[in-house]
Amino acid sequence: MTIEGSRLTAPEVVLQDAALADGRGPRLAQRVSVLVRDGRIAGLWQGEPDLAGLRDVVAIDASGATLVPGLVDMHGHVALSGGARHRDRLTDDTETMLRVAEENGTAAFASGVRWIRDLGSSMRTVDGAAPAPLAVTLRDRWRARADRPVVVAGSTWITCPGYLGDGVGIDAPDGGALPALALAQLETGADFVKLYLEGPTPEACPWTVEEVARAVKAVHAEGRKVAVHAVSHAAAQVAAAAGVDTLDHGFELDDEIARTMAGNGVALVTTLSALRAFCDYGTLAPWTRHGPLLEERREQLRVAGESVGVALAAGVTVVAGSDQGGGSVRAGHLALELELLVQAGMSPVDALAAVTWRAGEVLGIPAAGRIEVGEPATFLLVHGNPLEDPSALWRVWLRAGA
Amino acid sequence: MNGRGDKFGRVSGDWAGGRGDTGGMAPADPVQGQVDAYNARDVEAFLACYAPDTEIFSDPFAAPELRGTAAIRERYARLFEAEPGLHCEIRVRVRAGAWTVDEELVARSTGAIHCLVAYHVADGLIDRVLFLDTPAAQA
Repeated sequence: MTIEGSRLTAPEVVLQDAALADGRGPRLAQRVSVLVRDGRIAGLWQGEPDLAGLRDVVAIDASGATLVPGLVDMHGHVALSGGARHRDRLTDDTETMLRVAEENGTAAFASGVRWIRDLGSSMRTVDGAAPAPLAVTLRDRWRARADRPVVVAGSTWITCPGYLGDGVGIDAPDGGALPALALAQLETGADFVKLYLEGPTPEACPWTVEEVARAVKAVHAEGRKVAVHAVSHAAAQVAAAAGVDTLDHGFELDDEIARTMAGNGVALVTTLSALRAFCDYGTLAPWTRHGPLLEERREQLRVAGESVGVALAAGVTVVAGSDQGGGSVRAGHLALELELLVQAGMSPVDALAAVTWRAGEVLGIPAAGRIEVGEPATFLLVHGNPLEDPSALWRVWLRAGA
Repeated sequence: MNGRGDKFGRVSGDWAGGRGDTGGMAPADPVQGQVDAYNARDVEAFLACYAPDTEIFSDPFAAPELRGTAAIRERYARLFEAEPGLHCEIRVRVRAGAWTVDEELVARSTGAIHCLVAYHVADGLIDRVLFLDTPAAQA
């Protein structure tokens, strides 16, 4: 007898008696059963499931496990490898990056990530097509793959000259060039625009509020969104006032910036994991650039955690990303971000929402991060209660789909 | 126009293309061509730079302010008739891919108006215009 595939890939399968943590409330629902038919959720019950008339259904005893929506990683770099030398990897050849991306896709999917928003990849020519961000290529390649996350592909980095190095991103010589460069990036097939708001001096954003706002208006006119890399206080000030859609990183927010973000509808995408990784590399690879910066990174991580609290207090929508690849974190480690958010004072239910349904809303994909009848089955089963212990998300047992 | 993926470049507005004498033929550079036609108040030359289904937006979240040749003709024929001193000066032009973004200083009888306008060009004609800081109706 040959047996192939998971029971979850059967045409009709019911998972019985799981707990449910969907990020909507602080308490688990008990004895939840879910029926999956042809990859979609066909039934959801608390208590006894109604399975009358189902003769070929495959039943899986899910008691002792917890149903969690598929995860949304709001900040990753699918074509980058991460690691202590992650900056060196920005100029790897295209073939290497594409192979790394496949490794990342496997790892992210295995960890339960079903959507990943890519926040920057190099412009490359693949298979004779016009130059485009690699994330666009991967989005299109993976669209028909049941074992890969859905990629929402950002533009390449639009940055001030030379800041990320030759061949990495597109240089804007001044802020006046931002609208045209942003619009041209959308022409490459990018789903949204990424602006890199840091420059040679951390005290000053390379562009003014007015210049960034014009780029935002141009991109909005095309029905798309703008995400910005804003680590420093100065960059966050500009991003918040310019009304970007997401302010990513946001390690140095203050009350005024947070109020401006809330007023302008700017969401914070946290990436505490990146700073935590920098701290780890300071001890694990002290010969790299992270070694001498260890104490500084620890202090940055502490301040960044406080920034999350500042944002929450001001009513900012907070969602989370791993910064996989770009910020040195490896693919498949989104659970670390939940742990760090809870350590920073966020409630576990809000942390779970930040990588599920709330992230889906910010992403503009309402079905993302939800468990709802009629929607594709994208949930996972973990061991433990993520509403009390976010480390439960490391303990994935089964995943719907491939 | 620049092809997809080209580096952006600046020009000073000194393009020497047709100046209101295109006779309904699109100029090689439709963005500069429509500026020249605007300054000549030549509505036919102006329209020759635009695709028949051009959309002009002033509000990114609203429907197009103008859509199609007839609407553009009506708006600009009226403007050209009413404003004999009309003049558009290009202060800065940035091209990237299919997009050209102009910073324009427009002289009208009511005073000078600063505009930032993005033009999308496809198949040699402008097919999409975004007024980024001043509504099209004022420019």
